[in-house]
Amino acid sequence: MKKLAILMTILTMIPITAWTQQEVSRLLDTTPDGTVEVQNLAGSVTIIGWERNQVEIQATLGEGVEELEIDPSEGAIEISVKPLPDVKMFGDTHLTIHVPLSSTLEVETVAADIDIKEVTGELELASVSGDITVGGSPESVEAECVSGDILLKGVRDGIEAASVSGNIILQGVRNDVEAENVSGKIHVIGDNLGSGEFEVVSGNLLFEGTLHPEGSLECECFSGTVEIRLPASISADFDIETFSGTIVNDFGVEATSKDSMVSGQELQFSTGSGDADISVETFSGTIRLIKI
Amino acid sequence: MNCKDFQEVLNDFIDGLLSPEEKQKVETHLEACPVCREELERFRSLIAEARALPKSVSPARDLWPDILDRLEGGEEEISAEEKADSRAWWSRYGFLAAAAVLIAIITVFLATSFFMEREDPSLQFAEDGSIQVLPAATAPEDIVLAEAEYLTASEKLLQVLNERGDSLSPKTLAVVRQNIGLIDSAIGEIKGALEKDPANPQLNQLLLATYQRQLKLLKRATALPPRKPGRGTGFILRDSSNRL
Repeated sequence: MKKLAILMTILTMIPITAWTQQEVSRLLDTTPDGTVEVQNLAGSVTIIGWERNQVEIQATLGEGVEELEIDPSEGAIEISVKPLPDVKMFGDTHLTIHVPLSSTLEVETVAADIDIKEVTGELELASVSGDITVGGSPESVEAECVSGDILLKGVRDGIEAASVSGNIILQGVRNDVEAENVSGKIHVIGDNLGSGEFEVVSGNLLFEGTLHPEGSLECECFSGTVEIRLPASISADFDIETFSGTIVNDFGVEATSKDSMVSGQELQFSTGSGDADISVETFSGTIRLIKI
Repeated sequence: MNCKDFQEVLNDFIDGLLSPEEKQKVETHLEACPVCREELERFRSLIAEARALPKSVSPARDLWPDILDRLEGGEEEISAEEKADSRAWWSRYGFLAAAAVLIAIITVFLATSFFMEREDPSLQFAEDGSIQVLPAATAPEDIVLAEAEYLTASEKLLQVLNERGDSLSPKTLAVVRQNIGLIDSAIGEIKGALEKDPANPQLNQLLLATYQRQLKLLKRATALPPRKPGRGTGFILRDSSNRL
């Protein structure tokens, strides 16, 4: 009976001990435009810009994690989730971090989602299977996933996004925008787009929105469908080509067959004064130009 | 500055794009770090080799074995580096970085071997060495030669991909292989069309561009970050030069 009582006491204490070890909270002074580097395994990383020259870290560490390593140095703070040796399965570690608004961020995760809000500095974000979401107006964003999705909401300029099988969704983009994918889709909503280059292998590519009068839109797709949805009033030169796919054009000019090609089509035409440049190329994918 | 920081600024350092302060930091690190010094020399040597490729005459056809030798030499070096824990990131991915440099060299090499001798005024190259315009006439024997080069490079990169074992998820590997297969099929279609019209410049351009695309996909696949972390700093590889 005494042994049972001891066992019950131990069992009751284990979760309490573990729980108290999992919570981490730190507040550090930093510079207004310093760099914050974050690495996590699984779970989430949420980073929010605020108007203080401080970094606040709140973390709930998951199973299999040895510690949250926080390494502040001049102008930079490194926050890293360290796994226990020889552990193969990790519980979710959730990090919520407040940083100065104009901080530069470098975030890397394996299976943790990355969510960035209201940070105006440069962002370098990478994940294997986690999703990447960015809102606000950062100076530039480099986002790379393997199977995770990338969603940039209202980020206008300086975008480089890449995935393999995840989807890439860019809303309200404007200048220096590049995205590439393998089997995932790319969906771009342009807002007076100045320059955009988009490339997919087997996924689909959809662009919709407006172009700057002298803007440039380049789309390449191998076997997926490319759909370009543009205002009827667009003024642009179009250069459209497919090796063995088909071209559907709402703007009134019909595609012609290519000489010596198996079944390919090409189409060159202008609307208005033709100031913007739009080029689309596929190997076997269908190309649709749609008026909106 | 540590070794990881050095890797991130290596290209800019070589290109002379760093600020004086950044340059000073790199030089200070290099003075204290023999491994990074050696790495810098290796990169400079590879770049010098790429730049030394002839621009007005066809390069010697035996360049490829030299590149292969260099690549294989790189593998041995990396294996030795793996003994140093503090170099874990570079030890694991240095070979892949070397493969990336190799592809840059191959691209320049192929572009040079194909077009530089032809003095075609319409010929243009992008900054990354990709082919923009094909000259009106491309000899079939050149296509065959270039194809052999591409296939050798592809096989080497496929080998790198296979050597990564289970560091990539089966789903990701399946996606990569499926898309490589798609491009293979496309190459077959283009070659079929070329049999009917061997001198068609657009078809030749498309064939080379399709080979290039396949190499780019392979290059990116070999450099994808691992699905499981290792201990130590930096468990994700970021290398924007691997973009498609």
